[in-house]
Amino acid sequence: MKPALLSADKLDALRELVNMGMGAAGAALAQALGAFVELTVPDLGFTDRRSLAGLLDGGPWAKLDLEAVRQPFFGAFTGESMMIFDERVHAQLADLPAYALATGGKPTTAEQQETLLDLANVVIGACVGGIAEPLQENVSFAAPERLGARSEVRAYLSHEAVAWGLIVNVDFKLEGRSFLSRVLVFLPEHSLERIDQALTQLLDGLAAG
Amino acid sequence: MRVLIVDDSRLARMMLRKALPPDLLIDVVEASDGDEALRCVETNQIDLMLLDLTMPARDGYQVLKTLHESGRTPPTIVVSADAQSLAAERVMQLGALAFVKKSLKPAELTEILQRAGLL
Repeated sequence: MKPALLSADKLDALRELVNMGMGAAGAALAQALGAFVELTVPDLGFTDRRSLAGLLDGGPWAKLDLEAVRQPFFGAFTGESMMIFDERVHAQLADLPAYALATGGKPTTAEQQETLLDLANVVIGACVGGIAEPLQENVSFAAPERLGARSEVRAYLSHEAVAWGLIVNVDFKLEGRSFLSRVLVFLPEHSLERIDQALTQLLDGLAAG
Repeated sequence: MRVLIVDDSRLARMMLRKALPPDLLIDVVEASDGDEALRCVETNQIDLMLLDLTMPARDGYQVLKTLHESGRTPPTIVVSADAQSLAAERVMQLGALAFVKKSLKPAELTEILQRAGLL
């Protein structure tokens, strides 16, 4: 196993930046969906990218079918992001008054899929933007792309070459709804070098007052 | 004035320290989770608590609820990344003095403290 690519202090700082980004994402989702978003503390860890599929094999995710949206980003640092929903998402979103109003109560399959693309776009943008903006780095996003069901997600994740990096894992929940949603952001080693430098500047600035 | 800063992130605690009025004689106590925060309130005279909401194990809501039920809530400003209006409503119902979005600016904190008569 490779040593940690960021010090404990910098990992803590990065977690806080993600947390702030997710807070903004939660507020945007709450406004769009008219529901309270329960946020969790982001989980950060170093891993081989190919092991990411394993994150969907444990706990409540193991027994549910899922849908996923991927969205790569590039610029000052590059990486991969994905938002995953369990199969109950469409039925439970349809119950929300704000969503029902927007779709006339009976969303088509295309509208359902478009909704997931939109949600992923907002949440991933806030999460990655939460890292980039305080570090004064510019990052651009590719268009979100539907990956499909579990087998396609596994195939996509397993297909990639060995790549060590940092995985950011955040779970989202809407109050009163049981469907699961999870954001995964993978930052490869070369991106972490840039982030490490930017975090040094941020922390030095704070320490210097 | 003794200020308790509660946040699981060291970066966030550093930023909150920076936001405190520099001309005020302040004794800062830090807690990195909700349980530690409750112990601090039990064993110290806390004049102001700056409280995060999203923390592992006992979160900020649970800290506020516990203190509210025991009638021991110190003057509390919730400083959270969670910017949902419902989050603000809920913490105010649980006895918080104010709800502000991270990152808290020094001028913003000074204004809240002045408004609350704490400065």
